[in-house]
Amino acid sequence: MASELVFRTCPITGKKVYAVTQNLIWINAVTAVVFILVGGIMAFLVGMTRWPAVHLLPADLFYRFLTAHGLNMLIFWIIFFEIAGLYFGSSVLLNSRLAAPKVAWLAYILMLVGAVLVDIMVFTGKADVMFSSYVPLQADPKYYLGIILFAVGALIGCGIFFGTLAIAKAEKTYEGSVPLVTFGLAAAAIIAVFTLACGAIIYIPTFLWSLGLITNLDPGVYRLIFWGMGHSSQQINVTAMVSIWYLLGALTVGAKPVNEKICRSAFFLYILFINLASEHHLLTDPTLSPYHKMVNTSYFMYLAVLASMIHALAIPMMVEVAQRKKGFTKGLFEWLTKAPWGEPGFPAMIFSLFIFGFIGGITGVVYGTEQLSIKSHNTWAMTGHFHATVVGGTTLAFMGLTYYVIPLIFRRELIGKKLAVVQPYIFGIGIILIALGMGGAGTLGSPRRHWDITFAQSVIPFSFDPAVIFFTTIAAIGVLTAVTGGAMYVGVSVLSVFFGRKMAANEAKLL
Amino acid sequence: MEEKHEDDFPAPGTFVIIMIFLAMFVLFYFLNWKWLSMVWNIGK
Repeated sequence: MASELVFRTCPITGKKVYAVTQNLIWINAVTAVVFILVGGIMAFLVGMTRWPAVHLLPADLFYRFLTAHGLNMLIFWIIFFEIAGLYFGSSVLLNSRLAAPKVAWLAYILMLVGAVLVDIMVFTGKADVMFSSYVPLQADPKYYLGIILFAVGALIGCGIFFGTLAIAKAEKTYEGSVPLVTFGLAAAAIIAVFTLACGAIIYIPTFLWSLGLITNLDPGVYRLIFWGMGHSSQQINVTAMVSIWYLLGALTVGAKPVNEKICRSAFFLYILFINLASEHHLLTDPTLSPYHKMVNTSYFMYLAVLASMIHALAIPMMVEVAQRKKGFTKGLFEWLTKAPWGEPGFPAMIFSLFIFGFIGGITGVVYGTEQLSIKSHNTWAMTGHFHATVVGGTTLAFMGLTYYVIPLIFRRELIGKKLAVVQPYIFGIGIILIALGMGGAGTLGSPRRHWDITFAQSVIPFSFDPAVIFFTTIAAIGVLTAVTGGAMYVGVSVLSVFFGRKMAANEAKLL
Repeated sequence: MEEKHEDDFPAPGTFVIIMIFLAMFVLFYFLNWKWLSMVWNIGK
C-alpha cells in the first residue's frame, strides 16, 4: 500500500485517520504552539510596558516587540492552527485520504520559512513597522518576502483542503451533506482565499517598492487592500472558531444543532458579507465616501452580524437541548450549572462564546458604526475589542480543542489534566480583564500602540483622567493572568505531545 | 407535574441569555452615542 494510503481506525469515532494527515496536523499544530509561545512572551513584555507602574521596555523595543506580538499571534499561531484544522476537518471528518500530501508538506515549509524570515527581520530591527506596516513606513525587503511566502503556503494549504473535499465526494467516503464542522471550515477556507489574495495584491508591490523597483505607493490604496488581508484574516478566525464551537459542543455534551440548515445559512452569510468589516479600519479615512461607509457599516455589515447572532443562539441552544434530554430540566439554568465544567473543552467553549459575543461582538458592532468610530478609532478600546474576539474567542476555542486533538489524533494521554481543566478559566478571566481594562482606558481617550501614556518626556504636558491609570492597571493584571493561562496551555500541550503516554491502538479514552 | 407540549420553546434558558445580551447591546450602543454627543457641544 502506498504510504499516503496508510491509515488507522479511530477507536472513539470510528473514522479513518491517515498517517500523512496525522503527521501534517501534528507538525502544523506544534508549530502553531511554538508561535503562540513567542507571541505570549511578547504580550508579557508589551503589557508590562503599557502599565506605567512598570514601564518595562525602552521605546524602540516596545514597538519592535509589539510588531512581533501582532504577527506571531494574529497570523502565525492562528493560521498554522487553522491549517491543521482544515486537514482535520477534511481528511479525518470525511474519512478521506488527503489530496497531494507532498504539496501539503511544501505548503508547510513555505509557511515556516516565511514566518521565521519575518521574525528574524522584526527581531533584528529591520521591520519596526507594526503589524499593519503602513506605507511610507518601510521594512527590509525580506520582511515582505517572508509574508508573501507564508501567504502562498497558507493558500496552498487551503487548496489541499478543497482538493480533499473533492476526493471525498468522488470516492464517496461520506454520505449526505458534509458535516457542519467541515461546512464551516469550508466557509473559512473560502474567506481565506479572498484574504490571501488581498495579501498578495498588496504585499507584492510593497515588496517591489522596498527593493526600489516601484517608486511610489499610494498610502490610501495600501490601507484599503491591506485591511482586505489584515482584518479578513480575523474573519477566517471567526468562521473557524464557530466551527470549533459546534465541534466542542458535540465532544463535550453530545450536542447537535437544532436546525442545521439555519446554521449552514449563517456560514453562507459570512462568506458573502463578513469581509466587508475590513473597511472599519477606513472609517476615519478620507479614502471612501460617506455614502460608501454608511452602506457598508449600516446595511451590509449587519448581515454578517445576523450570522453571528444565529450562531450565538444556535450553540447555547444545542447545548441546552442536549442537556435537557439528559434530564437537567430544573428551572432555567440547570442544564448550564450541571454541564461538564470539569472538562477543559466545555469552559473553553463557554468562555470563548461569552467573551466573543458579550464583549467582542457588542463592542465590534458599536465601534464599527461610522459615527461612533470617530470616538473610538485608534484608542485602546479598539485593542480591547479585538483581544475579546481573537484571543478570548478564537484562541480560547483553539486551546479547548487542543485537549481533545492530543488523545484523539496524536494518541497521547494528557499530562497535567488538572492544569488543563483550570487553564481555560485562568486564561478566560485574564482576557476579560484585558478587554475591559483596555476598553475603559480607551473610552477615556487612551491611545493604542503608545509607549508612554503619561507623556513624561513630552514637550507639551498632558495627562488623562486618573481613571485611565486604574483601567490600565486592570488590563495589566489581565495580561499577567492571561500569560499565566497561556503558559499553562503551552506547558500541558507540549509535554503531552512529546512525553504523554502513548495510547494503545484500541484505547477508546478521550480525557 | 408541569405539562410539556411539543411546541414549547426547547431552550428557555438560552432565550433569557440572548435577552440579556440584547439588553447589554442596547445599553452599550446608547452609552456610546451619549459619549459621542459629549465630545462636541452643539447649539449653545
